[in-house]
Amino acid sequence: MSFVQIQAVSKTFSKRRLFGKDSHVEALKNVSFSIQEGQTYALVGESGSGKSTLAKIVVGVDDASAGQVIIGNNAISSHMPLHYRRNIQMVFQSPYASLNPRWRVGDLVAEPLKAFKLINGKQQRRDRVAELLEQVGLQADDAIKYPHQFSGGQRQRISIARALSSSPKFIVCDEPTSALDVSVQAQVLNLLKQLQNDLNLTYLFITHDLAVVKTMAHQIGVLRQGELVEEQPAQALFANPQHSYTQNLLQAAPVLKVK
Amino acid sequence: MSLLEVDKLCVEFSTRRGLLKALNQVSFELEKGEFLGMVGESGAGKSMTGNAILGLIDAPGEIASGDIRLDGKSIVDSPETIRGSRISMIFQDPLSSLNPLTTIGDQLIETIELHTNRRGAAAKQRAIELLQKIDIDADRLEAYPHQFSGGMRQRVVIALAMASEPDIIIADEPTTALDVSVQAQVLDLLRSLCQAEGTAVILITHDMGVIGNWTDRVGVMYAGSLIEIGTTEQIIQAPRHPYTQGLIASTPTMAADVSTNLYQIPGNMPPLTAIPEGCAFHPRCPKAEQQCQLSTPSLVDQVACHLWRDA
Ligand SMILES: Nc1ncnc2c1ncn2[C@@H]1O[C@H](COP(=O)(O)OP(=O)(O)OP(=O)(O)O)[C@@H](O)[C@H]1O
Ligand SMILES: Nc1ncnc2c1ncn2[C@@H]1O[C@H](COP(=O)(O)OP(=O)(O)O)[C@@H](O)[C@H]1O
Ligand code: SF4
Ligand SMILES: [Mg+2]
Ligand SMILES: [Mg+2]
Repeated sequence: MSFVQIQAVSKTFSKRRLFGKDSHVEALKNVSFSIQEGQTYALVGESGSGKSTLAKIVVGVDDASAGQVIIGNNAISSHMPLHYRRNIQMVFQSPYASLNPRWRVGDLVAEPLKAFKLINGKQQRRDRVAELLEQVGLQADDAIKYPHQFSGGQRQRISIARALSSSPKFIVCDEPTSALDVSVQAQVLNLLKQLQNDLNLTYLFITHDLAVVKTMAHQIGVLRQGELVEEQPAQALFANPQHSYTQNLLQAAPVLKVK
Repeated sequence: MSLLEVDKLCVEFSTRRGLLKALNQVSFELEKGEFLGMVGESGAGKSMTGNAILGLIDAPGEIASGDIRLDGKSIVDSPETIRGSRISMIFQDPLSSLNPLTTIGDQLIETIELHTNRRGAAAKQRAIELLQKIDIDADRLEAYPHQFSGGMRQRVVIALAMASEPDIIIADEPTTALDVSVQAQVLDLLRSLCQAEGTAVILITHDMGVIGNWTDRVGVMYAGSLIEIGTTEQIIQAPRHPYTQGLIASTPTMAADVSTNLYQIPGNMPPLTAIPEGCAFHPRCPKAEQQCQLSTPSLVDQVACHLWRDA
């Protein structure tokens, strides 16, 4: 069953100029696809192709210029009701930038619980934070530490615990492991897969790394200059890329060939 | 005699938390014209190795022991300018190596005049030649760095690195900030230019895919030590050190799919202030034996691991 529907989404950014014509960037052009419940849809494309722009629209941080996004039965927009939001979370590339360094880990993880008024009382909150930290492979007493006391991979686990705290059904991951070393990346990717299995999560997974896509995706869309130029199930796309742009991307990807 | 010999190099920093061994007995050779990769996780000491060769270790860091020889002569104490003409560098961020206020033509000509015996028109002619080699029109000599895309800028940096006609180029994560298709162009270019000129390259990267596709030989670093070195084929297809084996197994490849998990090396690389006794990898090593906690294996026959001794 398709859980997320992106329907003919376009986005134009306009820049006002003092002299001469205003300039327009068409960051997304009539993009449509859907994501099946419990599956991972990987969106690949080079820098500036519009991946993060789409991510922001899908989570309702920004609005489309045209078209719409439906998640479950809810139409997504920047002014949708609060209770729609708790079902949608996001994990970013840089766990440094997205975790406030002055907050304790427990408060960071509990922040969505508070924002969505999902918990009553200190004890209940403490128990839920402990449960979340253990779910992502950290320890309950890590709650009292600060982000700088953790490595990059551990910080990304904290971001994931926070994203999970409101029990979302859908998580957008925007380059969640690009800043991590391979051995740490493996830990985070395995964790995301395991959580998907355990909690039946649906992911929109954004990356430029095709080898990562191969291990994560059920379905793949290729974005180029704001246009979805190709979409296929993962196996098929790698075996038989149709669009010349996809072929070039696969050609250029520095993927390790272990015999 | 090899072009470059790094011999039991130790670099130390005195910090508030005590002595930090940033490089521990690093030894390897670089031959004329070869493309050597240096791979490892962040903080393993890759950049430190490059910086030591370039003479860029600053206080509170110092080369505590060991030697670096170019054509058999120690360069540890030679002033930076001597190295500058024989060893060039390329960094991750092309803007840090380009002067924003000077045209790329002037930057090329200045480097050529400083490091070669070409002057005036001959230097300009050489600058044009270099631009052609990197597929940029000669009329862009008058352009400023900000007028180029990221990939073009990194190509200009390559031309600038070649301008002094060096024997060695040290490229530290030169394509980490670029898209894959641009990365492929830049690395293909670097490889073909260096092959044509007989320039050796040390390519520093954390990306095994880059290693696999563009290098002849690879050194693998872990917690300040060079733990294995060999041909790229051998390191990727038949790694011997348990850390290299784990590193390769945890790299996503085309063989993987969504139903399989990636291999995970247990634990994390220790900070350099707390390197374990014995083999630095032993707390994470699935093959560790008792002696691994007691004695530090040195690099013998291209691998630093007790398993490969007296076999
Ligand atoms: N707020 C904005 N105002 C103007 N233009 C924007 C804005 N946000 C994005 N753009 C433009 O929209 C296009 C798509 O940007 P986007 O950030 O979605 O790319 P991306 O695919 O995520 O790239 P990367 O891989 O570098 O993260 C780019 O041309 C970008 O410059
Ligand atoms: N000025 C310094 N003082 C203390 N430690 C340093 C200094 N510069 C680098 N280091 C340490 O040296 C180690 C190796 O760093 P580096 O060579 O940059 O690693 P990488 O393999 O990521 O390139 C790191 O642990 C780093 O923290
Ligand atoms: S020396 Fe021992 S601990 Fe170190 S890598 Fe070899 S087997 Fe593992
Ligand atoms: Mg982005
Ligand atoms: Mg480095």
